[in-house]
Amino acid sequence: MAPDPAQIPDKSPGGAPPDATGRAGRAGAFSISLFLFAALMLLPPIVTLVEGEANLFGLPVIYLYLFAIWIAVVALIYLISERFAPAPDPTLVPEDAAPDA
Amino acid sequence: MDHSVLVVEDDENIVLSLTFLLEKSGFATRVVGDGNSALGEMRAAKPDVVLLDVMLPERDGYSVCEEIRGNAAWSDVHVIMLTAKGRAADRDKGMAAGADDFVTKPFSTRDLVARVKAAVGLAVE
Amino acid sequence: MLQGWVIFIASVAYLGLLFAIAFWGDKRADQGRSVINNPYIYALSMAVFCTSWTFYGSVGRAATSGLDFLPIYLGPTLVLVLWPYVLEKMVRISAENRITSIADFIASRYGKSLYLGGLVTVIAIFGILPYIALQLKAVSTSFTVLIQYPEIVMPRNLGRVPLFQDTAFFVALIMALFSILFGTRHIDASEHHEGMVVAIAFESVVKLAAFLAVGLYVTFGLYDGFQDLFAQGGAVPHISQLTHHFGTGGYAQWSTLMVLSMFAIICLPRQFQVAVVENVNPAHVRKAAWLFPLYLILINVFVLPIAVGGLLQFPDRNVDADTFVLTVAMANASEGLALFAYIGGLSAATGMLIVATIALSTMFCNDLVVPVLLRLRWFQARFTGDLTAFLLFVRRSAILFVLILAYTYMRLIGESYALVTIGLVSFAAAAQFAPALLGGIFWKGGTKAGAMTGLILGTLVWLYTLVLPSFARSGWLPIEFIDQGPFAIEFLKPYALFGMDGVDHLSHSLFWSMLVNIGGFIWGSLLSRPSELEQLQAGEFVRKLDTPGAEPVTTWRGSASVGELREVLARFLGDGRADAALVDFARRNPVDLHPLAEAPPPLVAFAERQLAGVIGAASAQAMVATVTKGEVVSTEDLMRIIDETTQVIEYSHELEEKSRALEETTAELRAANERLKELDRMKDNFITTVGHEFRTPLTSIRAAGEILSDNPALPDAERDRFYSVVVAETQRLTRLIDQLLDLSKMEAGDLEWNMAPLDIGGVIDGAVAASSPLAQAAGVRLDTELSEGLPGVVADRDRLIQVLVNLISNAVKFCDPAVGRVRISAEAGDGVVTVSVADNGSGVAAIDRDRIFERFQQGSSGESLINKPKGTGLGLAICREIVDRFGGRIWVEAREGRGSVFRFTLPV
Repeated sequence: MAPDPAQIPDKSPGGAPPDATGRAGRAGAFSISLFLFAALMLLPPIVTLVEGEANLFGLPVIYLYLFAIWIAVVALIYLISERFAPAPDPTLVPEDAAPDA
Repeated sequence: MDHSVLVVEDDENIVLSLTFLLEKSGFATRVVGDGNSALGEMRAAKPDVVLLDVMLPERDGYSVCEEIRGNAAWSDVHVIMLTAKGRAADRDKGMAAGADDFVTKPFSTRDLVARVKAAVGLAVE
Repeated sequence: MLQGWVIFIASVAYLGLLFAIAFWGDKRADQGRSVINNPYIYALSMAVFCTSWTFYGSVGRAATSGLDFLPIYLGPTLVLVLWPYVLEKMVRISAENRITSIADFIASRYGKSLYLGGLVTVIAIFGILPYIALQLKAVSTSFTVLIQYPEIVMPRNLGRVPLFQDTAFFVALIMALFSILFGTRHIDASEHHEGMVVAIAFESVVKLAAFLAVGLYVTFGLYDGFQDLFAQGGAVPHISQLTHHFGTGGYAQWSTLMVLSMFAIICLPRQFQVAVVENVNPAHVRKAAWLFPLYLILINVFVLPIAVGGLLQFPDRNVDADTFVLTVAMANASEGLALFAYIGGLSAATGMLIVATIALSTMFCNDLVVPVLLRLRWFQARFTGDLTAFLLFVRRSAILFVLILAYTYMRLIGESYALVTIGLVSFAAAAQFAPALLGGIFWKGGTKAGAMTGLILGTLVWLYTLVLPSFARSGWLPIEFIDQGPFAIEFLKPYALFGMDGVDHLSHSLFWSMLVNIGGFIWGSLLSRPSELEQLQAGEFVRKLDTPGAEPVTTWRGSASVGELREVLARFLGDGRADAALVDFARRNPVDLHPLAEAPPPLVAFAERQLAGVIGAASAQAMVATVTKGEVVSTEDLMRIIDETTQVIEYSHELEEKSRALEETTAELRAANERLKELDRMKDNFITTVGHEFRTPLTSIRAAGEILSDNPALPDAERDRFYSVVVAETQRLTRLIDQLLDLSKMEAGDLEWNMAPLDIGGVIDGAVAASSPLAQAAGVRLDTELSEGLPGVVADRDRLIQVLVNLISNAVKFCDPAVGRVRISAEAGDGVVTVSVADNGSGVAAIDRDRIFERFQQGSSGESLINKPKGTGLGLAICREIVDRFGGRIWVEAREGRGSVFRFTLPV
């Protein structure tokens, strides 16, 4: 029987410090700015600049560009989530995660 | 010589008893029912003693007493206040107004007569 | 090597392995060693996003329109950038509310609305069913293509496959079995389907590995790396166009696809299932936020190279680009790789089939079937006991039903145009949930009416601008519908609504459907009033961002007995689980589990959440409501609805109110205190006055008594006088005591009042008769003057006579003997009867006219009252008390000339 989630003390709000400002704070601000940056880079008009016959290292520039931005974004998500919102103690798994016995 | 007493009292049955008692004791007694008449009567003829009820129509006994004490000519008049309110505060108020003595209703008739006599320096038998 | 039986055995073996892995996952879960409590498994399970449409379709799309496949995977990456705000929040809300599906989530947010849940379910089924059909079709096609090896023949050239030779049919049945086995193990749908999730994660690994294998083979096996591949492709103009430019859809479609896929990653029922419902720990979201996009990068890196390779391999274009992943290997006699690619495609398809089917069947059961059944009277009458078996039956039937429906759809539509674009059409359908979903967790003002309006409008536009025209293109509707608009109405052309031309169909549809959806949501919300429960849920859902892990509110204020609650729980959870749940709750909370005990609100809320996991929030609320009497939402809970800012405003407003109330109370208290002091003074005065009033007659009595006793020789006349004084003063005392008692009884309301209709004339006559002896004795004349036709009054006769006698005797008392006249009159007017008692006596001084009605406040008349009968000072006070009681008024006026008039009124 999974216990009532209301009864579980929240020890790890999203891996951020327990205070409400932790996650919505620094990591949150980074997340939003990264979202805006990624949207800017991956949507017209910026993305139209790389269209064309040009190649770089033998690869189409647009292909290189999109994957480079993509990889950079994922790397930044990694940095933000693992550096600014550090992992909680792995032993603190909420009880309701326990499967039905 | 007969001493004179002015009775200032508005209840006729009390007046009846007072006049009887005072006249029997040899005082010349006059009666009025309110304060202003009392002062008028005093101007007409100065009494030796004024028996002054506190609860009078129009103006109360305290103000009458103060007015009596305000007049130097009446400094030798003895004022005895009669009151149906027996509280110490009322006694103090009467004394402050310059009363010489204070009698609480209902009074003992002998006590009242004794006080009036004492006021005019007569021996109490 | 690639004979039919080999492919068949490989397929069966793969699916068997899937069953084994799922079985193992559930076994581990039962042992308490969860496999899925792991962010990597979680991230891999999210990769169910990549279906066969990704596996085969991306290459196909790249080969026809270049990089246009990419935004479908860039969008989800952007959403995951915002993981703390979107995904994790949804996960937390769902865990607390035991959410079972996206329909349940939306219904729960908008006041646990049954209709909203049903609506979302219907849209999801219609939107997703074709997508499921697409997966079956991909399985069927890939098998058909592979089995032709070494020939490469496209299915369209092969004719129809009979039902029982169709791989897709068997795959559908096997997937139904899988979903039933691993998707409905628990009655509680919010519980995690561990085995299923492990299998999905495994499938994600398989399809990625297969795709990478094909990609590496093409790039490095058939060609000499990326440079060589792109160099060769670049030499062919139409291939160079694909690799260097945006697709045919242009920038508009690029942006549209990005937005659409952003919505899809959270709104597709299967994504909601794996990312939200199956999440075992909100902390996993953090890691999945970069792991899942990483997976997307890996599975997309080789899409363009495979497409270019395929186009180079089959220059005469007789091979569908959608089959390049298979056919490139087949054409180069790489049998093993072709089989692996086929298995990868199978895994991509089956993963989607399983999750989508489970998600849809849960919604179908909880948000469509159960709410309807629970409302049917015959159902309530027939199924009174344990419903767990029945619920599982419904869910299992729903799985079979969904898959068979999808298969039928695929068979019927076959090669038609409708199937090709179905992936994006499905995305567009799921996107309709986005305003209600995202608006629901970020905007407190969103209401049920708004969500309904937006969803309905958006879906109708979606239907009109995407589905109906695709039907027309498939020949089920006249093609003129597209070319000329319905009934030849130009501006209603489904691909150019209101003349919006020149953009691709998808962008066009997304624009209009989102316009009416978002507009409908916002305006509907602004123009409607949310119920209390809606407001409460809105607060709960929106609040999650600011205060993660805050206790959910206890919505129930009503009362139910523990026994009743247990009965409801047992119907849906079964006896064992119901009892276990209650005991578990009692272990953590002080609560009396006696069946007749009153269930405290937290227990009722707990029971509702337990039920919500089984039958969804809306039905759970309805079920708990059947045994709970009282308000759903308490006022104090409503306070929690208001968000932070408004809360502060509200709070300071409240503070202001409170301090104003406090000031008012202080003023009232001060006034009351003044009044009390005043009353105290009055009481003191009263006692002093009463003392005085008693002392005066006592003085006379004592003095007379002493005189009589001290003077035995008093003449008889004098003696009699003193005796009569004693008697008169004793009577006066008695009268005083009587009147005091009368007055106090009247004020305390202890007096009996015999109110009756009276003839006022008769009463006056009676009073005059009673007063006559007194008047005669004083030599005063009494006159009575009554108007004609006086109306009756309602009063107590004796008390009214008391008033009249009192006034008359007062009048007589103040009149001069001999010339005294007292006139009593009565007249009607203004709804009252006015009675007047006029005298020609000394009159009442103006300043005394109000005062004389107070107790012991006799008039200070100019002339001395000596020789007048003394009053007690209470008569007029009593008169006023009586007249007030009759609803009238009493006052005194000066009389012209001499004397005064006492008047009082009585209402008619």
